[in-house]
Amino acid sequence: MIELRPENEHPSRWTLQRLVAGDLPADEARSVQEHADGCGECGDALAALQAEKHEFALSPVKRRVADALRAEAEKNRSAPSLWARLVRPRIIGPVGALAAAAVALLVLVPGLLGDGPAERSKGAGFEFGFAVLRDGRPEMGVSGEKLAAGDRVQFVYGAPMGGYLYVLGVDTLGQVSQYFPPPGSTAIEVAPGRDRPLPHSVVLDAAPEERVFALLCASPFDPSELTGSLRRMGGSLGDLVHSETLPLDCVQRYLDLPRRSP
Amino acid sequence: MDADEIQRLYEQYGHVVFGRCLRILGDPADAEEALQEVFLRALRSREGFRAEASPMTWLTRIATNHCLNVLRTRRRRHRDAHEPLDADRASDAALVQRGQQVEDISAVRAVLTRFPRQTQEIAVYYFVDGMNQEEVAALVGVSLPTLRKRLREFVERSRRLLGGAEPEGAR
Repeated sequence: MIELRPENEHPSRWTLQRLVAGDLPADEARSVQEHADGCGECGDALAALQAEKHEFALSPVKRRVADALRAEAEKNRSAPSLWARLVRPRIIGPVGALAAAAVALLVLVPGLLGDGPAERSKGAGFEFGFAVLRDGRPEMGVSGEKLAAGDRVQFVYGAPMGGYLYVLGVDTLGQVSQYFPPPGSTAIEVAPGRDRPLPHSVVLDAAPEERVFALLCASPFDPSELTGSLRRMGGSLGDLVHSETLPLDCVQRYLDLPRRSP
Repeated sequence: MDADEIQRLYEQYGHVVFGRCLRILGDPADAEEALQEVFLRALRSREGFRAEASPMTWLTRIATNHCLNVLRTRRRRHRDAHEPLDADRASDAALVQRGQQVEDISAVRAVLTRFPRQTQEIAVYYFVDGMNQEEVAALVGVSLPTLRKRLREFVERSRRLLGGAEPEGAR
């Protein structure tokens, strides 16, 4: 039966785990240890966690994984990591105030492309493009080509390594749209691969012009942290490389979607 | 953070990562694979390590994401094969010996992928890691009232799912 525990004064199992791992600050470690010494229930739980640690230290699992890590680290020593090579150096400024996320009108509809590869330009590294539905058939588009409000597009990416993918757009009116992960979702990790369509297509609104950024990041972050930077660039449609809120471990690509006059 | 630092982290926190991967996935082979993947990922993305988070928290986040992805893939495979989803394995016996609430963990694992991603994370931190509500709220970045609401919803819907009152595929 899944039940909520009553909140009480005992240290949580997680805190005991942190004690065993040496992750607690000295003062807190002392007080948790003192509690466990005088509390049978916590003392037993602590002993079980210490036994688990001891068991792991002697297990073949620990040795096998340690060997694999050493081999990988050795490889990395001779060649800088792909992330290090891909992430462009930039000047780090002070972290600015984060603005609340703006939510653009965005319609998610079933994808234009199947799960198979889409036709798109070749090239190494992180890639970002889009397909547009023309006469009922999806065709690959080119950044900067004029599209009409109501056109359905589907973004496509190619990633040389796995990572967390974010796709965000800002138009010349400063309206920000989060295309991926879908608004309200947390970070989604994508596998490496070429010509991978996002799961949904989007219907373009009537903005005069929009710049859509794709970010491939080594670790997850809250995309709402970037919306302030995006909104501020509004009219000028710059890039995010100099944004102080862009995590250092992200690679950026962008494309422009100007709209045809009605 | 360099490769030596990752090795040091492995020495210090390897048992924590392995233990929680085993509790989430319920299978020693999958947990070993997850352990390796978590530290390899940490090694590859070491430039992305944010100094303000404790290394244990950082590794915990990576492990949670990885394990939830494994469970999602596993569920999809089971669904495609029209097999009942129950990842409980013999390894749970080891947890019984350590006094863990195995029934809870097995039940949580069985329903976890039926919830939105953030709720999955909350359930893992609360039920699997045994964090208290304040610790979960701080880690996930939600208020305590929001956290309590999500936990209550998780418990109520889990009971319906486990009691067979809600069919597979329903959201």
